[in-house]
Parts: sequence; C-alpha cells; structure tokens
Amino acid sequence: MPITTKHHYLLPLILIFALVIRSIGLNHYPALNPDEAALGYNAYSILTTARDEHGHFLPLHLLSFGDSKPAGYSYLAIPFVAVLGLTPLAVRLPNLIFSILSIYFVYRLVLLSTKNRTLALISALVLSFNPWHIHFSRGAWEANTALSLVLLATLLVQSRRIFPASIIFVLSTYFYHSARIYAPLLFSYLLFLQLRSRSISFKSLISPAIFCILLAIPVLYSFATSGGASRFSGVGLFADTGPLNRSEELLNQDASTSLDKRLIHNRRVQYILAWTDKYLWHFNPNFLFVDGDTVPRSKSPEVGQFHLLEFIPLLIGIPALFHISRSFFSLTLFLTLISPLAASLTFQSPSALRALPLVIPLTIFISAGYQQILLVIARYSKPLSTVALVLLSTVWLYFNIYYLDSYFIHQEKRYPFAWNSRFDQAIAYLQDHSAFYDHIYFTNHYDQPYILYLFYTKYPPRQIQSQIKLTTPDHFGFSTVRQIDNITFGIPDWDSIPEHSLIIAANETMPISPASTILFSNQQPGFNIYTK
Amino acid sequence: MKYTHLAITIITAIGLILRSIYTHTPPLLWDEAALGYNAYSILHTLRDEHGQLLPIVFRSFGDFKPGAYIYLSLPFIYTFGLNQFSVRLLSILAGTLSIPLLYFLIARQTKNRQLAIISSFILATSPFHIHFSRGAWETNLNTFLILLGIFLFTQRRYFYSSLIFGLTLWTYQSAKLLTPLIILSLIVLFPPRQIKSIFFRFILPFSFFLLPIIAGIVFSTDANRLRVISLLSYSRPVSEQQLITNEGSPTDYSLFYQPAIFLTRNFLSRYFNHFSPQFLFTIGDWQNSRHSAVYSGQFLILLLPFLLFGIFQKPKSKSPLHTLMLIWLLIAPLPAALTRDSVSSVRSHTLIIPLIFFIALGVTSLTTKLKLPPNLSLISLALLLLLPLYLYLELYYNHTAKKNPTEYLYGYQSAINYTIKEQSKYDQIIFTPFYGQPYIFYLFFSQYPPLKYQALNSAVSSGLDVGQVDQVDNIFFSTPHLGYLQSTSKTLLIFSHDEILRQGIDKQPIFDQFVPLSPINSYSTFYAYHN
Repeated sequence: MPITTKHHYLLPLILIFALVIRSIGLNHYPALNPDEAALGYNAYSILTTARDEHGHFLPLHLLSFGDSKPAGYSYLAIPFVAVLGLTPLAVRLPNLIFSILSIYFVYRLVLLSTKNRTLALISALVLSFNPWHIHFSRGAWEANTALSLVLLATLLVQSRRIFPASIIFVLSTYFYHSARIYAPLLFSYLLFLQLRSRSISFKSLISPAIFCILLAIPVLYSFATSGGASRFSGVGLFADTGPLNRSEELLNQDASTSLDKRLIHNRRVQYILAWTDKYLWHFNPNFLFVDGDTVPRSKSPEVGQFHLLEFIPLLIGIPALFHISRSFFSLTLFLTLISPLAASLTFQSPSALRALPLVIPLTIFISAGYQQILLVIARYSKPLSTVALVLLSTVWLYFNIYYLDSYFIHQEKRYPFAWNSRFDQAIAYLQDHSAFYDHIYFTNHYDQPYILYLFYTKYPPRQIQSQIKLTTPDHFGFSTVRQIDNITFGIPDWDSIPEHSLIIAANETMPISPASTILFSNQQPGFNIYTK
Repeated sequence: MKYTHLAITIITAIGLILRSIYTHTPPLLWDEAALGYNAYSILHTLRDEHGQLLPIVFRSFGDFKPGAYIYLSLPFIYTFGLNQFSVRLLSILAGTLSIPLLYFLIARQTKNRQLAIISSFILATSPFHIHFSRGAWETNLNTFLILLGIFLFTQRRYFYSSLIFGLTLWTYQSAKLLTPLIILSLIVLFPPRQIKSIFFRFILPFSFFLLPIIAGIVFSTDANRLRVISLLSYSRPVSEQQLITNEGSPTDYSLFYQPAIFLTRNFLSRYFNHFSPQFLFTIGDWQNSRHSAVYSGQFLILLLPFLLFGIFQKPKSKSPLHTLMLIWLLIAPLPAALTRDSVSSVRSHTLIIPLIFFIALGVTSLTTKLKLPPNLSLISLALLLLLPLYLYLELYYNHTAKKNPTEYLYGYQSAINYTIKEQSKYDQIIFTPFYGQPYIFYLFFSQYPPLKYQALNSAVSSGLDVGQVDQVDNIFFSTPHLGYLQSTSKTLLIFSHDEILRQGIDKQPIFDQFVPLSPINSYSTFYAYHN
C-alpha cells in the first residue's frame, strides 16, 4: 500500500488530530505555571510600556524571578496578548502553533531527505500522538518553540537556503538556553554535510556567517550582562557537589597522596564520570518508555516519554532507517547524540524539558520501525495481514488512550501543586475580598505566587515596575517578590499578623479553623482562607 | 595460527590472575561459608549440616541451595582443606575456563579468530565476570556450564551436552527458566541430522534431570523460594489503588491501571533496568552493594560505543551463533526481571556472554571498517582499556569493602578466630548476630566436626525451617549487653559496631577497654569485651 501524492488528505488529517489533542481545554488545562505567567505578563508589560516587569527597556533576557529567561517567547506572545488579552490561551497559542508546525517540518524534512512519503507521514503521525511532544505543546514551553525554529532552519539548510536558515538558527537562541548548545552544533554539522557533498561552496557561506555573528552579538552580550552565567552556576553540573565529595571520600580511604591516586580520584575525573552518567540517563529505557521524567511538571503519571511498547519499533527502526537513507540516518543519529548535551550539563538529569530535541530523532527511528513492521505485515496474504493490522492498530490506539487518560484525568489531580492548580480561584478570591482588609497574606509555599497574582489580576505594569523588589536568590539562583501593595507573599507567625488581615494559606498550620477552603480537583484542600 | 594460540594463552593467564590474586578480598559471605561447610560435612560424613544423607538440594539457612556447587567443590576442599580459597576455587576455575571456552565456541562457529580473541579478552577483563569469579557464586558456575553445554551441542556431542545442561538445573535457580529456553533455541538453530538421535542422546538424559524439578514444583515446597521472590506476589498498595480510582473511576482503573497492566509495567521496568546504561556502564548493581564494585558499572564504560555499533551489525558468517546470541541477550534478564528486586546482576549473570559477543563484534566490525590490521585491534583495545581497568581494579580492591564494610561482612574471620582462640577461657561467649548467620562462620573457621554439629543441630531444630542458630557449645549468638557481665561466670562479649553506637557504649569511659577486632575506616566492625 504505497502512499502517493493521491493521498494528499492524510497530512491535513493528521495535523487536525494533532491540533485537537493539543488544544482541547488549553485555556485552563493544565493550570498556568509561574514560568508561563512570567512570559505572558512580561509580554503584556512590554506591549503596554515597552519595558518588562522590572522596568528594563526592551530586554533580551527577562530578569523575571532571578532566572534570566530568554525573552524571545514574550515578544512572540505580544500580538496574541494584544488581540486576546492577558489569558492563558493567549500565552500558550504561539507554542501551540509552532508545535503543529514542528510536525509539518518533520514531515517535510523526512520527505526531502528520504523521498519516502510513507515514512514522512508515519513520522508526522507518531509525533502528533507522542506523549513527550504533546506535553510540551500544551503550555507556553519556549523549549518547544525553539525546537520548532531549529527544525525549520534544518529544513531550510537541506533545501540549500542557507541565508534564511542562518537567521532562524540564531533566532532560536533568543528563545531557550538549551538551543544555544544544540543549534550551533546542528547548524555546523549540516553545513559540513553540504560542503562535503559540494552542494554549496565555501564562499557562499561567508556572508551568512558574518550575518550570523552580527545577529548573535546582542544575545551573547545580554547573556553575559544579565546574570545568565551566574544562573548556570546555580543549576549547572558543578552545582552538584556529589562528585567533589566522592573524590574526597576516595582519597581519604586510600590514605595515600601518591600521584596515581591523586590522578584517578581527581575531582575532574569524578565530574566527567558524573557528566557521562547524566548524559546516558536520557537513553535509559525506563526514562524513555516506562516512568518518564521525575519532575512532576514535566510528566504525566505512569507514562514514559514514548508509549510503552514503542521500544520495539525503535529497535527495528534504527537499522531500517540506515537502509532507507544513510545520510538521513547520520543526521538523525547526530541529532540523537547532541540532544541531551544541554541537559547533561545541568545538575538535574534526565530532563525531558532540557533534552526535548531528543523527541524528534527518536520519533523518526520509531517511525522507520513502524514502517518496517507494516511492510512485513503487507507481505502476508489477505486475511492474515488484515488481522495483524487490526491488532496493531488496536494496541496503538489503546496506548494513545492510556496516555490521554493519564494526562487529562490523572495528571493535575496527582500533582496539583506542581501544576499550580486553583491559583486562579485563590487569586480571584483575594481580589474580591481585598477591599475589606488592611493586610493580605498569601502563601509562598509553592513557586512564585506573585507572578500569578500579576497575571490573573492584569496588574498595571507601570505600578509594579516602580515597586518590584526581588529577594536574594536561593541555592538554585531563584528569587521571588515578597510585597505588592498591601499583599505579602509568605505567611509569618500567627501572632505577628496584624488585625484586619486576610490570610490565604496552603497547608501552614494556623491556630484557628479556616473561614473557607478552595479544593483541588482531587477534592483535597488546596487553599485554606483565614481572617484575623 | 600460532599468534592466536599464544594470544588466548596469555589472555587466559591474565584472566586467572585477575580472578585469583588477593583472595582475602572480598571477605567471605554467608552463602560461601555455607557451601564450604556443607561440602566439608559431606566429605566427612556423607551428610549435610542438618544430617541429611547426600541431599540434592541443601536446606542450609532454609533457602534450599541447589547442590551442584557443593558436590563439584569436594575435590578442592579435600585437597586444600576448608578455607576461603578452597571454597572459591571452583568458581575461580569456572570463570577462568570460560575465557578459552568462549574463544573456541566463537572461533569454531564463525571461523572469525579475531572476533573470538577479542571476545575472550573482553571476558577476561570484564568487571561483571571478574566480580563473580572471585567468590563462590553459583551463578558464575552456571554461566560456565551453560556456555559449555552450548559448545558441546554445537559440536554435536549431544549426550555430554545434555548432562551439562542437566547439571545447570542443580547449580542455580535461574537456570530452571533459562536452560530450557536456550535448549529450545539450540534445537531450532542448530538442527541435528537425525531427530531420533537427538531424542535418545539429548532429550531423554536431560529429562532425567528435569523431571524431579517439575515434580518438585508441582508436589513439594522446594519451589517456595521461587514463589517468595517472584514479581507476581508484589501488587499495588491498596492506598494507591484507591487514589487512582478516586482520580478517575472504577472503569478507568480497570481499563488502565489494573494488576495485569501494573505487572507488565513493573516487569518491563525491571527488564529494562538490565539494559540501562546505569546498570551496564555507570552505577552497576544498585540493588545490592555486594554484587558489584563501588562506583563501577558492570562493563568498562569505554566499551559502550562498541556495543551500540555491534548490536546492529548484520551476521557476518553463516553460523546461527549470531542469532543464538541475540536470543540469549533477550532472555538472559528474564529470571531477574521476574523477581522483586529492581535489578540483579546475580540473576542476570549469563547476560555477560551475549553482551560481550556484541561488544566484540562492534570492535572487529569497526577495525574492518577502518581497515586496521587485525593484530593491531587487540593491542589497541588493550591499550584503550588499560586505564579504565586500572580504575576499576583500584576501586574493587581498595574501596569496595571500605565503602560498605557491613554489607561485605568485613571482619567475620578475625572476630571468629579471636573467639576460637579465647573460647576455652570463658564459661560463655555472647557473639553478635548483627551481621547475620554467625554460626556458619564459626563452624567454617573452626572446622567444627560435622558429626558433632549434626547431633547438636538435630537436637535444637528438628523439623523446623532453620532461620537462625542460637547456640553452638558455649557460644551464644544473641545481641550482647554490658549487663550480662554482672553474673559471676566468666563471659566474653563480641559486639558489632552498630550495637556499640545503639547502646551508647562509645560515649562511656569503658569503651577504652574494648578490643577492636577488625579495624576498618575509623572504627572496627567487631569489638570484644570481657569481665
């Protein structure tokens, strides 16, 4: 059953399915998290005042809560916020659009590289229904937007349109930190391939190269001056003192200062070993197929990054793709190897978010595996092949429903706080009742509530710019804001709370029983509201 | 021709040295002491420690050890006496002989001497294999026997092959699952010329070994051990079931979270753990620190790229060996994945052979691709592995026991020898049971007369499962307390470090009079004190 151009309706059909899964209830599910709120609110702030929440004029990095976010996504969100207002949907829409485009780019890239329309369609289909990709398409995940840009740029290089490609590659680094590592590597590799096959000349690269450097200067300068580097020291590989302790432990056990002992137990050796372990974690089959990421906000309960049984097409697909196209196999393999680099340089690994590009090459391998399985099935005679096909589709469908069930029914209920569930209601309550109290205390038990407050109340940017004050950064380099007008984020001792106060607490213990309670979707108390 | 014979001799010698030097480390474990003492007991009385006449399965601590290791150890115990080295010698030899055996299997089947040499070199220097060859591990003997059975089968020595395969069933529990699967693959992949001959010369003698096991599983309680540790007995906690049902609905629970799906996920998770880079290359067996060296994977990390390259190679020769190795690779973790532990290098031990085959295939394919001369590939591989191997051996010899002295039962020998030396001076000795089964170490290191112990044992615990032995002669195996010293009788107390801390003795002035019996790190695992 070869797929031809006659089957032109299949791709739009797949994209529509992808869009439906990625957009159902997107305005309220999952609940907006502080990172998304920060990107959205800063877009709003820049739109109305040309400055971010801290009053910085058209920044390239948002200081936000001390984590120096690349500002690209906020600028991208400006037109959406302008048209739709400051709502979760408006902030999430750009990434939604780019995630659908990603699927289209992958389709085009596979088609262009292998001339195999069936494989291209299967790749689009697999990516559309992939847990990893769906997860980071639903929400303002700038990692996914940056990945989409890199895919577009890759497609452009492969079509030998170097100049636009170089612009897009550099642009992706304005969106997400990880892209600053994998995008240049990928771009260099693609150019190297083009040069080797003599499809482009060395001379034709000079002007794009100069332009690239010019384009990259602002973001590099801003990274260096905005404290991005200091953030890396907070979350980077060296923030983990484990290897250092291990080196000391081993040297102490040897109780010898001979040169060979000092060499083999050197902390640099230990850090290299630790880095290798972190890197390899992204290829742990349990991470990929059974448990997924460990960070609740990056996962759905009891689902891997891929569907459980897709390890079978992955294993079949690796040699299969090699036989379909060697050059495309090499490109896919290269992307596989560089994708976890950025994540392995941070102290928390594996990270589905930071290693997001890995979803693309693995999807392509898996698709090649599916295609191989379909080819084998097609070789059998009619009734047998039909039975096999029905069986395969049923299993495939089952695992897709399994994932969607996990994502839509269990996820927010399992990890309500990781998803900042019901903050919208708590802040609405605060807004409705603030007029009756002199002081308001709001829990800072979870993340950075101030930015959610700014977002949900559409707080006037000029007012916050004049009073915002970040706390000193914590161990990981994160700060927060403690005071906005008469609202304090953080709950002091009951005795030091003045009269006429409204207190919105999480599970902090209070001497009185709550006046009212906001429940999470799992019916457990989320916010306890007290008055004094 | 000359070169390969010289090479395999040198490689085997290296393998032997790595497996037999510094036999004092690691310290003897419970199972090793039990294997040794039961062999000693059989040798002198034809009965095991419980007085059973020539048992096939040894009751030991109530864990029912298959008897092959004990019976095959008899000549070594007879020749060298009962000591740490003689108990381990069988495993050392099985491990060492696996090296030329793997060479001959691959060389005869693939006609690729280079592949065979590289495989045997990687086996000789593999941490996974060195670790289990240095102790009396039944699983290591089992892997050797399976390899031997396969070799004999491929040489059409069906009768001998069936005897060896039969023996594996009485060597290690996981062979009961693995051996039949491997035999099935062998019969399909290496079809014999005549069906009749395979039936009479192979299947019939093998059934002779197999039937008692099937009967045992059906009729008796011997298989309890398998059932206790099996994955199936481990289900989702009720509170978690309730949580999931509350989030969704009972229908949702039975569709997506019911026990069958939970067990499938758990099984796959355990199965995958054996193929995880963490188990194979970076962390090793994280479930049990006795099963791998500290901070070391099962294989040297530099071999990882070769494994990836080798696994996707197409078979180079007509021999079905490649397919057999692929099947073996896939079934080897099954016995481990079906038990409760998330990962187990002991139960998945045969994984070594197929993994090394594919690593070696990766090495040779790459050298062919790079057009390196074949002789150079072994030397460059040896040079490449020199540093990681040194790193591993240093961690193994100097750090593994120091990192986890308690798990490695560090100091049992010195504490028991001290006790034996002082035994006659005291009315009673209280010896700590903190590190588990102290009685077997006493029997082992004192070479206690088996006949005497059997009489004692039957009086103490006739008919019951032996969890723990409380007393042998004037030695009581129970937690020592300083209060025992107030009685008039002369008493010697042997404490564990943990008990010293728990009873707060280290903060009392009396602690200065405690004799550290087995100093390690900044403390001692055993302390002696008397009045």
